[in-house]
Amino acid sequence: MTREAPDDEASDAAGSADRRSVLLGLGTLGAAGVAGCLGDSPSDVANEGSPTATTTPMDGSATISPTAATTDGTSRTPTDAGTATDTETPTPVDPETEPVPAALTSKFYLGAKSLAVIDDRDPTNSRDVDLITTEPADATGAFRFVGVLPIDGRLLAGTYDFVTDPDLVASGRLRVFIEGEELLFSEGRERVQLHRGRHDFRVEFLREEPGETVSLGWRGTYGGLPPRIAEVDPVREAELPAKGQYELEVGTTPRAKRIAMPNSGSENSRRSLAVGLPSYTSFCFDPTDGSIPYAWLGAFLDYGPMVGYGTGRGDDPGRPLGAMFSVGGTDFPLRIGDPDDETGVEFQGYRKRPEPFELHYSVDGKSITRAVEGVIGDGNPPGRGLRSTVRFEEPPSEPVYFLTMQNDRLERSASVGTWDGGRLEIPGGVEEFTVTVINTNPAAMGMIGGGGMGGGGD
Amino acid sequence: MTLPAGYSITTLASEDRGPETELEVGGLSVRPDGTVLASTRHGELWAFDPGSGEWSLRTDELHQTLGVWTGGGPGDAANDIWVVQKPELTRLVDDTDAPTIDAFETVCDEWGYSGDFFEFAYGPVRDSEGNFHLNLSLGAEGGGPCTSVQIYSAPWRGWHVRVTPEGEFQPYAKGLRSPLGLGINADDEVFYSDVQGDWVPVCHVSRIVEDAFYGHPHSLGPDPDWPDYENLCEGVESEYAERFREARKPPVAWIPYELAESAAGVTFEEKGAFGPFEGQAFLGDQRNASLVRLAMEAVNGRYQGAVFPFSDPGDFQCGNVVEAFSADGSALYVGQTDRGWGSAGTEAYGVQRVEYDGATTPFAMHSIAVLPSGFRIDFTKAAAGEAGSPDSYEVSRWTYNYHSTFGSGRVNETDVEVTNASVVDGGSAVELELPEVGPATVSEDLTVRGRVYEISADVTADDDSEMAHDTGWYTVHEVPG
Repeated sequence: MTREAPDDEASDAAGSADRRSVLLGLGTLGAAGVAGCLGDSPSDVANEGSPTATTTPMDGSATISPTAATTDGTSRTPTDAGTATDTETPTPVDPETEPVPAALTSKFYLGAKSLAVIDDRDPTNSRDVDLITTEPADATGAFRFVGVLPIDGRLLAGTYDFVTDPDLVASGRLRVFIEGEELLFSEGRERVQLHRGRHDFRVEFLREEPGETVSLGWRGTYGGLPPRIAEVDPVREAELPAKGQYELEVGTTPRAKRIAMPNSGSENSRRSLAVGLPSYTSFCFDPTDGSIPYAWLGAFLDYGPMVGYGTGRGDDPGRPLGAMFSVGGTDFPLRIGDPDDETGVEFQGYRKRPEPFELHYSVDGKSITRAVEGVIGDGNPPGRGLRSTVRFEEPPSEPVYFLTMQNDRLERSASVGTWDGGRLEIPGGVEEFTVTVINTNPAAMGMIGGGGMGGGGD
Repeated sequence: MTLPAGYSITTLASEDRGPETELEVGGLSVRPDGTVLASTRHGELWAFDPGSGEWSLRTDELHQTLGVWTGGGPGDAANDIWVVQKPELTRLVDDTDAPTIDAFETVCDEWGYSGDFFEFAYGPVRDSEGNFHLNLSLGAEGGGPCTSVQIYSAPWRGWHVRVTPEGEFQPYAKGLRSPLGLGINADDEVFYSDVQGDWVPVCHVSRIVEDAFYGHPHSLGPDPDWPDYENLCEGVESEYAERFREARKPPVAWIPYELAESAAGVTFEEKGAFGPFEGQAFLGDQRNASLVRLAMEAVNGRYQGAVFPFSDPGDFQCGNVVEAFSADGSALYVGQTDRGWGSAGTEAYGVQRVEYDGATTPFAMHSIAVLPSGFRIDFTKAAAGEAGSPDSYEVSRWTYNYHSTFGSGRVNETDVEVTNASVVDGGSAVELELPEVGPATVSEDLTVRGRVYEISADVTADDDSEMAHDTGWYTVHEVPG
């Protein structure tokens, strides 16, 4: 029996390690996927969050197990499909620096007339690459790309849909392998289950005419786009306005965009700063009160609305390319002396390098640096959140309060001080403190619109 | 293509050339080493190396950057960069080995920004004391009591503001509508251009003076001295217009509609390397994809002057919104965009460069000066004998309505007889005598005071060269005694 599992870490463990099959005729991508994943309807998101609710596999989905995930030889095979937990020890990764796809190399075999010859020849050239880009563009021959898809918490374990050009597959000029298993693609699509761990990934492509290139994309059904695999990404071309021309992507370093943002809870969200972190956690910062109204999981930002997608006057809010979740943001979260004082924030800018990403502003005239890092929880499924390290230029003598929203999904911790519900009180004189807020179920997120965070009242 | 002899246009960026982006330029600034910085409506900042022809991205994290200013002021580091984003003035910090900007320091964000798409922030230019000067456009989206009238959508909209080097916000002058152009000359004098529309009959270029009012009542916002500012809809202006007319500071020059529909960047030629126009200003015209030249003079303590075409509509590939001279002054970079506005030309965005060959002296009306009984035209070189005939000139004059409706046609237009033409200074100038010359009278109710004189000269140079453009428009506010 093949089973469609929920798209979180529990579901990751639910599938059998060796079972795989192909899901034919996926109908959930395209327009429906766009609506659900890119933020128009909370109800769509809820559906998208549960693959069993939106897909009807004809013969099941491919379940792919990582070959490198169990370094200690422990079994990953769950004993209970409904409740099992993943007992593997994930391969250590440095999610702040490792790209996705990881360790990608490109080999080109000039003049090759068939993919079958790759194993018998030395490549004409070999190089490390960030994406599948079939350079040189004007030469014919065969390409082989080898890399790793790290499902390491930045990307959630669960269901992924791989999409390519059906003609390429039908003509035998494109082959895609995960863990050595070839994806068969039906009408250019195949759905697989990716467990937590590092998945070997191989793509072979035969270029018969100069200029032909690989079209390959993927997406997780939990919401939000995963990072681009290939320069030509049919998922982005199909789902994003203007074929993704205005997407800002995050690699191994933080990225930001000053832009109006939706639904940040303040009319001053027009002044917002969107920040994308390498952990594939992004957040919206409101410079007028120092708050982080929400974060999101997945790809970073479509800034097309700011430029009217190249055709209009623009200046509409940017589109987070993921599903939003709360990190406990409240208005004026940092207060000095008086916990009820909602004033006194002056934005002073931000710094990207050296990392971590820093927000600079003052509260009641006290200059602070707030370093913000993405955090992946150790729960199952892993939560997602942010860690703020707040450093005062001159420590205030009065108590400092850091306020977070009351929410059962939030796990809070701090390096110093005392929690009273969602409010952290820090004694006067402290120069630096750290607050970590993790949303334990970011995959059950609400989306933009519909009166707030949704997803359980975050 | 009708540029003066000796000038040519080179395309540096367009859809098919330059960086692979929609380079919708909103700001240009040139470093002493010649590097050109171009900020864009996408929020990108690009650097262009004129030696290699290479473009490099410095950042793409900004919010609609319609202005960039590079180092050179007191205490500036050589690589300092300031940009104006819609919500703030920002200093860009590049202090690591990474190729892009490392930190973004907020210098000032005191002005209102409600999200109205029209709330553009233009500038900065920087004076010798290190102060930044910015223009803040009025809003345009709904909410106003009058149809098709710009609105005071957020604090300080419609203002020119000054920001000290320490970041202090100083509201400086008001009455701006859509102040796309901003420039400063070597004497620390700041000039701006405004785009025609409500309360702005045609585009104009004006000198910014502290506390001055430039004509658009809605910028008065909550000022208790102007309680009725926002009720001046069509049909009721007459009750108030005289008061506003008295209050408003006249422009240096009205720019007739046929010359510019969306006047843009104001850039002074101060190195004397761009032909015979040292000290004059060049203005872009976004709508017509062309350039306008401004030659002004001080009369009775007030600047006024003449505008001339430097090109014809559509000579450039796209609407010109900003300009900057090359480091040696021999070329003028022009930044372009048309999205949402439309323009002449064939491209939607880009950068072009007007290059002077360094040798040719084109024949042109260099400047026009008002005389007690007429005008003096200075040519760029000696004119032929017909310059001494009154029949070689055609002069007419008119003024414009000052009202809440969009733009104005010519009001009280009249041909003016040239009674005498006297060649002076060896043929390089001519003095025209008219029956009378002066500003509009108060009896021309609901009109601006400035009177525009259109002066055409059917004259060739002594060396037989011809003028690319034979007409100038001089705005008279003052006449020397």
